[in-house]
Amino acid sequence: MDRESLIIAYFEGTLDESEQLEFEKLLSEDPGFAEEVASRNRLKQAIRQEERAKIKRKLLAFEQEQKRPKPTIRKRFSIAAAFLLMGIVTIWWYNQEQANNKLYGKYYETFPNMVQPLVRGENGLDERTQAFRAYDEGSYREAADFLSESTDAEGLFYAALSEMELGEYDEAAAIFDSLDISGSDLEPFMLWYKALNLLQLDRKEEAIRTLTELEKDADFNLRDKVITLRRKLQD
Amino acid sequence: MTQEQLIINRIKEHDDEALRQVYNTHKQGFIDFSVRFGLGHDDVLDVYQDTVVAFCENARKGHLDELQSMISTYIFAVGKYKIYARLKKNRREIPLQELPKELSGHGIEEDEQDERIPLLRQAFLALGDKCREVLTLFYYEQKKLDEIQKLMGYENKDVLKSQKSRCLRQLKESLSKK
Repeated sequence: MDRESLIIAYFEGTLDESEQLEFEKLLSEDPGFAEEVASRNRLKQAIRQEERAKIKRKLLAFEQEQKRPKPTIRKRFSIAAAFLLMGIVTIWWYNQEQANNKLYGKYYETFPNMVQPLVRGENGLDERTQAFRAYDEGSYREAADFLSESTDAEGLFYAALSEMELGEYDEAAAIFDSLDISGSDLEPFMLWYKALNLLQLDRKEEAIRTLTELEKDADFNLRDKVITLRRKLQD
Repeated sequence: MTQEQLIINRIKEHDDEALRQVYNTHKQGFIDFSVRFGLGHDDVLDVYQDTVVAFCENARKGHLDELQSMISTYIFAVGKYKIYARLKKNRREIPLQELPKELSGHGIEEDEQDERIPLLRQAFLALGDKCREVLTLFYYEQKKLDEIQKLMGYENKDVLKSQKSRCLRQLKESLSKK
């Protein structure tokens, strides 16, 4: 048997007795042969390490999937906002002469609940979850009453949205003025709805200022369209 | 064929969904089981992952084709020895445990440390797809050349042998340049 076949049979575990003796003899007497076998054993280890690392990367990915059950609020809303704003802006191009409150009507669409996705059939809901469920179901009075007691910007934002849904624009404006917008994942969208609410109240200059602030957010995926809207308001 | 063997066969075919199923099914039970050994959560999770890696590796090598027990039993048996090894590594006093004979050769022992191996691993990764596949099937999955010939559709064993030799030569050349 040639040397290469001996090495193959060794790794396959198919050496018979006489081949085993031949293999061992070469291993002890021929340093070149011994080094060849050693280097193949190292290769075996290197491949094993690589394969184990590959499997482990998959397991770590499964672990990450469990830790991250849903995309970030901002990402999910960016997608929703893309559809929302594209529709709105398209309509808007055809309605350039509309009065501010009519523009509001064309722009405004109910903002989806991005904070507290609900699992249907859940029992023993806390107040906040109940409030978001009310918002989802269009019970804006109930949602506004609960959420106006919130201490966080996101809860207050949805309270303001509920007031807008109810046509209580002054209430909504007061809530927008009280909430600390900066730093929230929903910051650009808070500014967007704040501007729309100001537009509805005919507070055009403030709406323009709010849109200008929103333009500073270079990451906002529809920033160009916000700029166009602001310019149209300034015409 | 039992449900357990169906899963093992899917793992052998590199079915990630089956791997995910095994990983998720036994995870909580393994964590609950490991608490009594006093390992921290990160260590337990790491040991669990290494255990599933060992399960997957042995399935691919064909060591589990005749598995008589449930997959969970196998995972807990292997996992227990991995916990002992981790406790030893963390220098904790532990009762001496012998690895049962039926688990020897199941890749439970840790990797050897040889400084040449990381370079070899890099060179291996730089090879073409065919070479990596042939070498992985032969050295990792421990398949015989006859099986690899059928699996990869080589005309005959000699063609495969010369392909394998070419791959090894490429590996040596790329190592000598480093």
